[in-house]
Amino acid sequence: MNRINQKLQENKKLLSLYFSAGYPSLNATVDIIENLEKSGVDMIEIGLPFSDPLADGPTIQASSTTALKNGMTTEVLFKQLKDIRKTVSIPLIIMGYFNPILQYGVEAFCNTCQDIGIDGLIIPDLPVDVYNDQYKATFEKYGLINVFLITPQTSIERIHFIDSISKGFIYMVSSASVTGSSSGFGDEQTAYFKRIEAMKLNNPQIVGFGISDNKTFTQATKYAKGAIIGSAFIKHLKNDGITKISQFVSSILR
Amino acid sequence: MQTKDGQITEPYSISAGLDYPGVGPMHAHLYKTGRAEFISITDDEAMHAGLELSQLEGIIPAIETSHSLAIFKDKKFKEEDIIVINLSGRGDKDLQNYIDYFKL
Repeated sequence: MNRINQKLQENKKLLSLYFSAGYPSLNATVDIIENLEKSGVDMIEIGLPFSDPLADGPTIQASSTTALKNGMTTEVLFKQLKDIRKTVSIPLIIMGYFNPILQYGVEAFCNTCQDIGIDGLIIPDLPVDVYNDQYKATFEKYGLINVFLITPQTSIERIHFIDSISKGFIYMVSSASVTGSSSGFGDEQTAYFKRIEAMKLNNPQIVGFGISDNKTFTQATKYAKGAIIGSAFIKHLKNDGITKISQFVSSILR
Repeated sequence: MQTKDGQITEPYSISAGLDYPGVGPMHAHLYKTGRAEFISITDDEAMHAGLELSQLEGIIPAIETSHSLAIFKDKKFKEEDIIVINLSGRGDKDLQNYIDYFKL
């Protein structure tokens, strides 16, 4: 069974952390992943940096730019992750944008992901219908779970369609904005979380965008299976580096 | 316009509206099916074509449009050809660029 599905069966709220590969320094990737697992994180999203990251706010845009300047590429990332499964057992997801994957070759990309032990992909600019028509078979051939995003604006029909072709979880974007831009959830978000929970979808939901601390993590996971933190962790890496990762994680899970 | 591993590269153009790395799907289709011809124009050719239209007709074209006006230097047409030019933008927004370029 895919590690993501195994993890989703655990009777707890899941914490997933995102970071941009190649940030703060080119070769920090493996170190960060190992530290996150040791700190008690349930799942990791490894960001494949892109020059035009349309879903990301200023913090992740900046970390992507730095990562690219540091020399991060698809090939470099794959090389760094070659032996990752010797030391890390939690689910690993690559989050990136479609063009670098298309240029690498979708099948070759999926094949390498499987060889490394990547469990899933999040590609915000790959529309669900294009995926369904053209890439689903390839992703599934290499055992990869593709994760789709829904927002407060996604129609009921589309949510059901996404639910019908998802094999892991649904990434529930907390608001109509980019990453890293919210400071706490209001009534509007709570109503949206409740509305989605009441739909009783087949796939569990994990909330992302706007989660930065224990308070927002608790709020988000009241109605969902888990939550994803990105920008707040990037800021932590910027200010405190890799050594204090466990302190950051405990501040969320306390 | 991209690197070999799919990162978007920053393009250059003297015209702000053309300083963009993408190509629309309609243009790409017209090119692929051979229904349209696409021609490169240098900054200098575009600026001179824009100045020429301003002086001849009193119409100041946007620098984007000036690029299309510049084809008359190289592309020869027959007398009975019907030519339609889409003046896609006005050049008052570009006056400072024209003034700087020609040191007017």
